[in-house]
Amino acid sequence: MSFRYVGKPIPRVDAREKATGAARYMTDLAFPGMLWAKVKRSDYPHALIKGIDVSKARTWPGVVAVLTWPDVPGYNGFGIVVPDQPVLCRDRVRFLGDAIALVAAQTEEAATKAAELITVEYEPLPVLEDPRAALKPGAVQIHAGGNTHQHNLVTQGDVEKGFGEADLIIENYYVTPRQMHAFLETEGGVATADPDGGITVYAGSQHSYRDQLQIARALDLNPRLIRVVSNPTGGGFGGKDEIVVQIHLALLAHHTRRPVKLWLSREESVRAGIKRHREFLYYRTGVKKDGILVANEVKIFADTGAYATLGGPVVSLSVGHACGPYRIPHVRLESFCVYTNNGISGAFRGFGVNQVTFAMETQMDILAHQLGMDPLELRLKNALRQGDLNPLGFRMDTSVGAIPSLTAVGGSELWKNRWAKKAEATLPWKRRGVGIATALQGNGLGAGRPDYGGALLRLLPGGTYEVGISCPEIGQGNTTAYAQMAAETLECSIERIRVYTGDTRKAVDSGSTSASRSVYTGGNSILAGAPTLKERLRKAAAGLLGLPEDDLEFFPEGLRGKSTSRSATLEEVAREMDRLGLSREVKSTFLWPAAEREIEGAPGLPEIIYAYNTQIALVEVDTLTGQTRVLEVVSVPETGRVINPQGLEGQADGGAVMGMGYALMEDIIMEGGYYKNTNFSTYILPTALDAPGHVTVMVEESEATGPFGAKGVGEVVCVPVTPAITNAIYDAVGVRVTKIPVTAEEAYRALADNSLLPHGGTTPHV
Amino acid sequence: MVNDFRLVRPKTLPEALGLLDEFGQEIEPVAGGTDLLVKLEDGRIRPSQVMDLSALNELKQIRLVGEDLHLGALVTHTAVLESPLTRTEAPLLVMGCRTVGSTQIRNMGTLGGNLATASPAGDSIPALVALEAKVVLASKKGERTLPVEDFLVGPGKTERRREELIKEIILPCAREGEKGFYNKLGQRNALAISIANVAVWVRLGERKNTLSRVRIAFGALAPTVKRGRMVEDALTDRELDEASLKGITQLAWKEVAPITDIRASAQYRRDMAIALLYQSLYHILFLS
Repeated sequence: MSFRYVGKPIPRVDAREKATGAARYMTDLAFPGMLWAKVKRSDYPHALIKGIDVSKARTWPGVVAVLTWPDVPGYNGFGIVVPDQPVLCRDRVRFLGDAIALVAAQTEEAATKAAELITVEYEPLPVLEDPRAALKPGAVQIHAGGNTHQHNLVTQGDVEKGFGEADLIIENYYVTPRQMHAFLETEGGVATADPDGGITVYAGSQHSYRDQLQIARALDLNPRLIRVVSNPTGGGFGGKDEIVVQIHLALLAHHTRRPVKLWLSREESVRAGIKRHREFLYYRTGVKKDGILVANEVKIFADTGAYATLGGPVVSLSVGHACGPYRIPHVRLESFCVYTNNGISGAFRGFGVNQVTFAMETQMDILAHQLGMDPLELRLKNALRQGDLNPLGFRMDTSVGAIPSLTAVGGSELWKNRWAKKAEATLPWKRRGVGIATALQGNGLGAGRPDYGGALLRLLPGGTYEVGISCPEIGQGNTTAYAQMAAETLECSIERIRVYTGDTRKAVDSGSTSASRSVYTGGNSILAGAPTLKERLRKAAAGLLGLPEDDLEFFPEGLRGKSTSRSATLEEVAREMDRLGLSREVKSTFLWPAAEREIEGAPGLPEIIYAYNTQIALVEVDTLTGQTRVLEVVSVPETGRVINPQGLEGQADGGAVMGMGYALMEDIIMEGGYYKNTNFSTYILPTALDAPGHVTVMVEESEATGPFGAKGVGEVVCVPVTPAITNAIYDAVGVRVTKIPVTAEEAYRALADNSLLPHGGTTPHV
Repeated sequence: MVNDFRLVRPKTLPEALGLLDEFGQEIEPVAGGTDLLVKLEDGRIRPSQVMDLSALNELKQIRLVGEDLHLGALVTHTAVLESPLTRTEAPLLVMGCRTVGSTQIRNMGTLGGNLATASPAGDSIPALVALEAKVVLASKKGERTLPVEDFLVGPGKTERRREELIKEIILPCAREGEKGFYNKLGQRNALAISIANVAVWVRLGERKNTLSRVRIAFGALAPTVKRGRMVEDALTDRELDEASLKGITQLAWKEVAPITDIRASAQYRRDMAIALLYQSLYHILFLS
C-alpha cells in the first residue's frame, strides 16, 4: 500500500518556530502584574517538623503571599498512583526536595529573599539511603505502610529444576545509577487566575489532563475550572510525567488571583525533580551446552526515594523485562520497590527496562564467552517469536521483532567488519572492541490500567481541519506524526491539518505522552474518528455535486467525482454541512488492547505490544587512563511501520547518546540524603563531541493493531546501547562491567594489573 | 543570585589602573567573565564594583618582540587558536587552549583571566609554565615581571596585588628542534574540567631518541600548576626507549600532590600524572 504522507520524511511542523527561537515555551510566558514564586524546601533529608515561622517572610517588602500547609484547600497530596507526596509538608519531611512553604512576590529577588527568611524547626530522623537497609527489621518507617512500596514475585516453571538441567550457571550482581532526565527546560511555568474563578496553568508536562485532576484535588475545585496548557514542553523523557510545579503554581494563583511564575533553577530541579531508579540486581542464569536458556532467577532492589509517584509501575516493568526478549521456561523474578530518603525516582525513558537490560544482556555476553559461542548466535537461538510463551507465561500474540532486528544487525557493516575495525586501534595503549545487546520495550500502560485515547477532529469553515489530541509534544515529534496520519486518513493535503496537543481546552484527553504510546494512541484515535467525519463530508458533497456518494473520492483540496470533472473544495463542503445541519466535529475514543488479566505477582503486567531494538557499539579504551570512547553505534529498532523516518532517526540518535551517558557518565550521587552533584558542571552528560557515529537501520514488522502498522519507538532506542557499550569494553580489554556508569577511573582500577601499564599497577598510597 | 553592583568600563589601561588604585579593595576586574559570572550567580562573591576590561583594546594584541611572543592579557583562547603567530611560535599553548571549555567559553575566556583565576585545573596554564612564560603586572606605580610559575600561589591565589592588573604574558618563541605535547584527561571531550593534565616541552638532542632540554608542567595535580623538575632531569641527555620511558615517567607520582573530589580520587590522579606524561613523551619521541 502506498501512502502520501505516512512513511515519508515530512519536515517537522514545529521545526521553523523552534529552530528560529520564535516558539514560546511555557516558561517564556509573562503576563501583566505577574508575581514570582519561590519554594522553601526541606533543610534535612528526613525530619519531623516542629514549627514553621513565616512572619519575617510575610513582612518582607514586595511579598504578596506566603503559603503553608493550612493554605491547601483540598487534599494535601499528589502522586500519579498514590497521592503520598504532600503539596506542602505539615509535620514531616522525607527528602531534601520536600516543599514546606511558597512565596509570591513582586520580584524574583524579593521572593528569593523572603523564602530564605522562613525558619523551620526540625527534629532530625535517621536517614535511609540504601533500599536493602530500609528493608531491615527496626529500620525507621518512612511511610505509615512501611518502607516497601511494592513487592513483586513472578514464578514460572520450577526454577531449581531449571538450574538442575543447566550445564552452565552464572551468578552476578549489578548496580545501576540514578540517571537524570536533564531536559533543557527545567520545571516551571505560569498560572493565571481566570475571571470565572478558575485557574489556567501553563507548565510543560507530559499529561495535561492528569495534571488537571491532580490540581483540582489539591484545590478542591471542579476540574472543569482548571485549564492546563503543557505544550510545547522543553524536554520530558518521563521527568515531567508527575507533578513538580503545577499544584504550587495553581495554589499561588488561587490565593493571589494574579499571574504567578515559578521556574526551578537547575539546582532546584535536581533537588526536587524525578530521577531514574537506582537498582541493585542479583542475577542467576542457567543455560544448556548448546546455548538454550533454561532458568533465570532475578532479585531486584529499587530505590524509589521518598514518595511513590510511578515507582511501582517502573519496577513492575523491570520484572516484566528482566529476562529480555528470550524464551526461558523456568524463572523466579522478585523485586522490592523501596522508600528511602533519597531524591524521588519515577518515570524515565525506558521505565525500568534499562536497568534489567543492562544486567540481562551482560549475563548473555558472559554466557556466550563461557560457552565459546558467538554472542549474536546465542541471542538468535533464544529469541522470542510471535506466538511463543514469554518467560512470564503469556503468549506473544502481536508482532515480535527480536529476530528480524538481530538478523539485520548481523548484516550491518560494523558487525560484518568487526574484526577489521578492532584491529584499527591507533596507539599502542588503545584497544578496540565491539559489543552487542538487544531489548524489548512494552508499549502502553499495561494490564489493569485502562489505556485510552481520543481525538477531536473538526473541519473549519475555511476548509482546514483541527486535530486535537492531548498527548503533549515534548520534542519527540508526535505533532508531526499526527499531522501525517490525519492527512493520510482524511485524504487531504497536510497543509490543511492543524494539530493541537497538550491543552485541556483544545484537545480531548488522550492520556500521557509516556510509555512509547503517543503515536500509537493518537494515530488510532484519528483512525477511529475519521470515518464518521468523512461520511458526513461525503454526504454533503454528494448533494452539492449531484453525484451518488459512491462516485465520490477525496482529493487533497476536497472531494470530486471519480469519473467527472466536478469537484467541491473543503470550504464549500463545510458550508454545505452547515446548511444541512451536519456537525463538522467528531470526538473519537480509542481503547488500547489489554491483557485479560494481570500476571500474578506483578501489577500492571503484561503489556500487549512490544517494540524491539538491537544495538552494537564499537569502542576504543585507553588502557593507561581507563577512558572509553564510543566510536560507532548501529541501532536496529523494530517498531512497526515507521510514520516518519526522519523522526525515528532523531529519536534513535538521541537514544543512543542517552544510553551511552548511562553507561559511561551519568549519575546523581547522593550521600546521607544529600546531593553531591547539583548542576551540569558536575552531572556529566555526553556532549556533541562525545557522541559516536550513529547509523539507524529500520526494520519494519507491521503491527496489526497499530495505526498504519506503527508501534512506539521513543524508549527502546535508548535501552540496549548501554550493555552494547559495556560488552564492547569487555571485548576490548577483558574488563567485565557490572556497575554503571563505568567512569575512566573505575575502568582503570579494573585494568590496573594490566601489563600495559608503565608502572605495573596502581601506585602505593603515600 | 547576582547582587547589585556598580559597573565601570575604563577605556584605557592608565584609566583602569587609576580606578584600581582608588578602589582596589572593593573592585573586581572582569575580562571574559567565564569564572566571575559563575561566582556572582552562586553568591560566592558580592563585589560593590565590577570593572569591565573589555574596552582595553591595547591588551588584546599578540606581538612578536625580538625572540619573544607578547600576548595581551585580554587575548582570548579563540584568538590564540586562530592567530598565525601563536600557531607557529607557541604551538604548545595552542594545544592547551584548544581544550578549554567549549567554543563559547573559548570565545569569551582570556589568557589573563585564566591566570588570574589560578585554578589548578586551568588548561592554558600548564603550557605557560612549561614554556617558562612570564607575566607582566601593571599598576599606577609601574610594572613588574614574574615567572608564571612564581605568580601562582595557591588555588585562586596569585601574586597579583589588588591595585595591579595582568598586562601581558611573554613567552619565548619556538625554535627549530623544539616540540611540545599537551595531554588532558577530562570526564568528557568538551566542557570538561581537567581531572589531570600535563604539558611537555622538549628540545630534541643531537642523538636519536634523546632530549637535551625538558620542561614538564602538571595541572590539577597540586594546589597550583606544578613543574616536574625531577622527571625533567631524569629524561635529559639519555637515550630513551619505551622501557626506559616507562621507568622514568613513574617518577611523576613523586612530583604531584593531588586531592580527591567529585571528578576523581587523589590516587587515580597521581597515576594519571604518570600515564599522561608517558603518552605525551611517547607522542613526541616515537610518533611525530
